[in-house]
Amino acid sequence: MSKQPEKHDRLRQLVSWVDGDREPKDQTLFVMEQRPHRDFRPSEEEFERREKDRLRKFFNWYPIAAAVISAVLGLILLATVMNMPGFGQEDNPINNEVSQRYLEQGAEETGSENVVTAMIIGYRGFDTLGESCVLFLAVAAVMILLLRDRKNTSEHEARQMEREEESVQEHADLILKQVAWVLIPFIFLFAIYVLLNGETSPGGGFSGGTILGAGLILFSAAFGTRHMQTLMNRRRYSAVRTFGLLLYGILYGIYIFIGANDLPNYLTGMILLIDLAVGLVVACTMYGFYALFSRGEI
Amino acid sequence: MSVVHNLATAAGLALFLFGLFVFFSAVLGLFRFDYVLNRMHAAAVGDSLGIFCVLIGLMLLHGWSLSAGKTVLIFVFLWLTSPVSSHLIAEMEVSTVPDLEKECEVEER
Repeated sequence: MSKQPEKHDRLRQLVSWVDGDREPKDQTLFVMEQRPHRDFRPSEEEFERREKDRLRKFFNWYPIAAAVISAVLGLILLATVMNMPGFGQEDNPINNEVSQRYLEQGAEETGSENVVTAMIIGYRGFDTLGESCVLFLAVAAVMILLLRDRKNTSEHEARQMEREEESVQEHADLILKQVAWVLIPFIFLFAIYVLLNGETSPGGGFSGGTILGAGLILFSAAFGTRHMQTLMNRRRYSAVRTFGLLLYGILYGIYIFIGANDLPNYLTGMILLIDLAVGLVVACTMYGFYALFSRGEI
Repeated sequence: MSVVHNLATAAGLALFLFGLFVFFSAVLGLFRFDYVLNRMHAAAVGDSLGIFCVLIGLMLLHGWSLSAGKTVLIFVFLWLTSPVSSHLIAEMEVSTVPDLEKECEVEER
């Protein structure tokens, strides 16, 4: 009666030994089997010396390796450039029926005077819509993480922020203020020009929005938060941002509807409006990142 | 007329090459200097003198046109903004580093 379980036990131990378990469950048979401590620990100086040796070797080889890698990379790029087809030749692979159609029928199909704008906003408008959504969601995610409000800011922190704001207001930089006073109107003017000119020239929404956002950032940095609050507070910011994306979505929906049903396109100013919408979203994204990362509020 | 044209082209080329040299030394200084104020100085050299020489050289090479007027606007903009940003960086450095005397010689005023 006692022999049967023992045999069974041994069998199990054998199986586990074959499987490679070092310590069987009952710790009777293979207890003595322990791996000796093979790697001896080097002393502190030895360790340092080895480290220095390794570093010296690394720095001996680093410039050579860097030069070789740069030379090889440069050669590969040069070879690629040498094998590229010449600029503007007729039999280049990019001159196929796609670009031909864009060039020949872009103006009447999208209602845009510029081919680049026709491509960005007309033919590949889904791409641009997706990019606008990405920007919108990025600001939303940063807001979730960084926005300060009554729930996640203690009384002490709020007072400290207030004091810092006061000291910044007191020691406002005169040079920056004067230069910003001169430059900001021109920056806004140029941004509006780029936004409105986007219909007839390549570019438009994204670049104009970026300039607009840069102007807002300069204004905020030069004149402080309090003046910025009168121009743009959180509610207004959210309203503008959402309005931009909604306008884009609705207009592009109408655009697709017209195109798909072969309706006549009477809405000639649509490209301009879409450009403006994209510009608003981009400007709000730029300024929002600046404000959230520097102050944690808008 | 042709002599004037040739002279303008030569002067433009000389200014352009000098501007490139200034930019080269500015980038070299930006990477080789250790301390922030020294690096800022190197960058400011490129931003003011280098931009000036390159853009004036380009204007001389291409003659007066609408693009030349826009070039003038570009370097007015750069000359307005680059010193301001340098000033802000320097002010931030001076106001945040507690022992500035250790880092560089400070002239008492």
